Amino acid sequence: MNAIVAIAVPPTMAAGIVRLVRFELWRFRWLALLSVALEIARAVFIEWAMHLAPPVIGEQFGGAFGTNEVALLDEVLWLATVLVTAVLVQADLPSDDHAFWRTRPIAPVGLALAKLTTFVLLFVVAPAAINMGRLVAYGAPLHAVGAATLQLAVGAGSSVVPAWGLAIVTRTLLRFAIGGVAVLVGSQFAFRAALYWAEVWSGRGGSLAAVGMRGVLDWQGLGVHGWWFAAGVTAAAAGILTWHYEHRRTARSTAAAAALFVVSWLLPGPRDVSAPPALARLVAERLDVASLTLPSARQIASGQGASFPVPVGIHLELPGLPGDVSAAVTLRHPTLRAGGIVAVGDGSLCCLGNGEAGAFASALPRPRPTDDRPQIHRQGFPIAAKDADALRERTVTLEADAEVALRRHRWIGTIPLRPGAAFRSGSQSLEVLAYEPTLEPTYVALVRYTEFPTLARPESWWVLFAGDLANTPSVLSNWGPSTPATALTNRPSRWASGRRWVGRFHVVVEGAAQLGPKAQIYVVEARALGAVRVPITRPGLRVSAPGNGASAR
Amino acid sequence: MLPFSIALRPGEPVVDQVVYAVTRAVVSGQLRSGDRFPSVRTLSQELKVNPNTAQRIVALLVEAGLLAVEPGIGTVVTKHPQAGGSSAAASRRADLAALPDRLAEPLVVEARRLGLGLADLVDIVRARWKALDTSR
Amino acid sequence: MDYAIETEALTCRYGRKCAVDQLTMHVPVGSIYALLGPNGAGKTTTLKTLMNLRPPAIGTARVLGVDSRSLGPADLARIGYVSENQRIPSNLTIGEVEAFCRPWYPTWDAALATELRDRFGLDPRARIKALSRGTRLKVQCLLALAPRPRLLILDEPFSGLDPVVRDDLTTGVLSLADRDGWSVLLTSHEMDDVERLADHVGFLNDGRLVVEEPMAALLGRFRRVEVALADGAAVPAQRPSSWLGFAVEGRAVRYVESQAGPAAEAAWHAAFPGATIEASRMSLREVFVALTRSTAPAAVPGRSR
Repeated sequence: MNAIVAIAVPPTMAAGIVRLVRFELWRFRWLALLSVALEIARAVFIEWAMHLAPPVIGEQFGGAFGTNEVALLDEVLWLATVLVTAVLVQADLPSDDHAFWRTRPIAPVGLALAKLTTFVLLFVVAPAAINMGRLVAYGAPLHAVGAATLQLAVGAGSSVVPAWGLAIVTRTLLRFAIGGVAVLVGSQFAFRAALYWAEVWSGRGGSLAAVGMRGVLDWQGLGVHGWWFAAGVTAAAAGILTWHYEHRRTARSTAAAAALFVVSWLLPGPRDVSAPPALARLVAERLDVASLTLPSARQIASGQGASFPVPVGIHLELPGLPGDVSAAVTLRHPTLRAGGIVAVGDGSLCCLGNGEAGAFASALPRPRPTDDRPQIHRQGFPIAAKDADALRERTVTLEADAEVALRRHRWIGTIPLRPGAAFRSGSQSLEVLAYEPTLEPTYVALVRYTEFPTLARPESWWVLFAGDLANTPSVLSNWGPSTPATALTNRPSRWASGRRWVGRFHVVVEGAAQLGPKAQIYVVEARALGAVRVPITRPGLRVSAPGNGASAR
Repeated sequence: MLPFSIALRPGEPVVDQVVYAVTRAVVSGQLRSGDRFPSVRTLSQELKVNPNTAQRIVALLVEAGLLAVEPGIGTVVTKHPQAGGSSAAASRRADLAALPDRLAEPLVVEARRLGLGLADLVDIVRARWKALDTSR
Repeated sequence: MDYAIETEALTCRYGRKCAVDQLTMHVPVGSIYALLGPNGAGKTTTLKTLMNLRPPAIGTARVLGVDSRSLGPADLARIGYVSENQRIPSNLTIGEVEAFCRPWYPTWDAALATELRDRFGLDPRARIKALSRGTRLKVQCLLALAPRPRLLILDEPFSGLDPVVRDDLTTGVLSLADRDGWSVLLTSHEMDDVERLADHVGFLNDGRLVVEEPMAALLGRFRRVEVALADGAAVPAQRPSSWLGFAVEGRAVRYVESQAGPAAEAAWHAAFPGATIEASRMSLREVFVALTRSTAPAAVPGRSR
């Protein structure tokens, strides 16, 4: 964003902008100090929580120590950012005919650029400097520092730019607060209403829900297009706001902003990476449907009516899938035909294959045959209750577009399961801080996990297993009973970004008592391989109620 | 602070009042020849009048021969108006010619209206003349 | 450039209400122009439009030769604006505000700024938010005058201030008087301050310009006429349209003559033969009241409502 200032601005305006920025920082010195102080407080608190806080496993171990407090601090920081932005913007409004600057020889664009520069200094440069200090102390490479800075800028922009626009429109701080609350509440309401109507009209509520509120509000296009695109959209939005100071026509600026957001939302995302050809062929040839099941009539009768959605269970199988590969299947437009057509909504099913535990298959001393049979999936996709009644005990044809996302798992490291053990690979590192029998027979480990920020799409993540492969091959599959496995994967897909790249987490180890003193932590890296689209047409399927056991074979 | 006494009254043109006051000051000796006269800016600020008005006052006084603009010094009070160029002399002659109608006639008419005799009128005039002399 | 400010059929609206209606006014360079009118006449709106704080609905305004909608930093560096509506950043001191403003004006005169600060009695360390209204206006005047602007626009600079402050402000404005080519447009309803200060005057009423004239000419043509009727004399039925506010009480007749001169005097004597007629000059306030109260369109030379 600083590049825009340098290119198009004549020298006298640049001098004026510097003067204005110094004036802003002096005029609002307490607010500026507050912003920086909050950043410093956050950094100090994080570092204390990560390194100096005692490694005690709390009674209510639902999250990691410091995570909730940091989340609260982040909310306070966000609120402070938004309010400071509003105060600074409303001090010199573009259309205010009482404003001091309007009758002085100050160019409106210069004023807007000065505000922008002040925001960049307070909300990007200061946090980035503090963040850089921390990253360098942790030994992060330079490109991680650069990535984190860009991410901080995009993050700051996601709240500063809308706040700036809202502040101009609402003109006073009170109206800004009311307007902000109205926007947040209103958007929740509108989203839920949209979900409801999408579901009622087209049964497509699922895809909207999958995108989620966050996705709809993602005006920067971060989730779909990545960091550079988001930075570009943010810079363009800031440009629209700057231009507004020049012409002061709300209609024009609103139209430009709307056009920008529509383009950002409608632009198709990058194509999914395609899977390696050998695997793609395997999936295309051997993906098959084994059987369909419906809940029993009794279960359906307790439903609410003829259109009530009833889940169809589906067995899929993919024989020949290599042990270290797992697949997640999404069925698009699954359609059941038996005489009449029964169109249904999208459904997604997880996981064929052994999951991450498949990475150990080759290492087991007495390898147990992996289970070729697929798992039972109780939730496939929904159909209306009346259609379920019509299909019961009949032979149907299933047509669907299956999208299969493949993942390969690689066992990359082993550390003893005791305090002090540490493991590092690339930009990620793990240290065990404590390990205690908190709720016999379940043990809880406290680990510190670091992942340096990067701009690439998240492609790999870690899954941890606890076990003792040498003595008891208890680690087989993610899905078997009493298999100790937990994932650091239930964090948002862009967990490591900007200021947040180190955390303490609780790892629950079930059945730990059986593991003995030589228990280990196994670190498995899961890497996305890409997706394959396979159209499925499977006639002759018999729909059964559970317990009947009959299948098409 | 102005070097001559003046109290502006509403209802009469400012220019006339100030020109009269300066004339009075020169005649009574409050302003002596060679004294520095305030600049247009000072005049306008002290009297709270438009600078163009102040400009016109100074111009009228220069034309009447009461003030002169000396290069390098500014505006000064001149010697007694009798010393002046031919145009000053001509305007003085015109002023003298107009004196009976302009000042004497109203004075006489007013005095007669009030029932004053000539001797009383002369006394009044003499008293005023003496008052100006003493304020030199 | 003959005119520091000229407007052409300027019309400004607040929603449906027309605040300024077809205003055509001219402020000559080098003059002090007083725009007078009752509250709500549209004076402040006119000034805001001239300073490009509001766009005009119809018509144009040219300020120092530039269309008001295109006023840029170079033009604004030559214009000083004082208005009670302006908000100065209030948590700063006077010195800080001055230090902020100074670099924007290439013609800032530090000596004049010091003189004004002393004259106004301003303490550079005082905080703006602790100042009274009058002192705040003095600060605005300081900031507006120190750059020696070519045009000063003052919006009701004297309203509600005590006489001492008014005096200070007037003297401050006149401190520019040692230079040529500077003009002032001020609005007020304090006629007394304005009468000696302004050399041009315009009356605004209900958004329309009723009169625009040099002050001397305006005051020169208005007289208050008091007639003591002779015994048995009658009041004439037909009266010239230049007589305003005609009133009779017993043998006393009073009216305002708006076109005074030898011809008018002759008309008076013709209308009231044998009566005692006294004509006296009127103050600006009296002229303004007479104009506002009168409904005769011909009160204005060459202009009709």
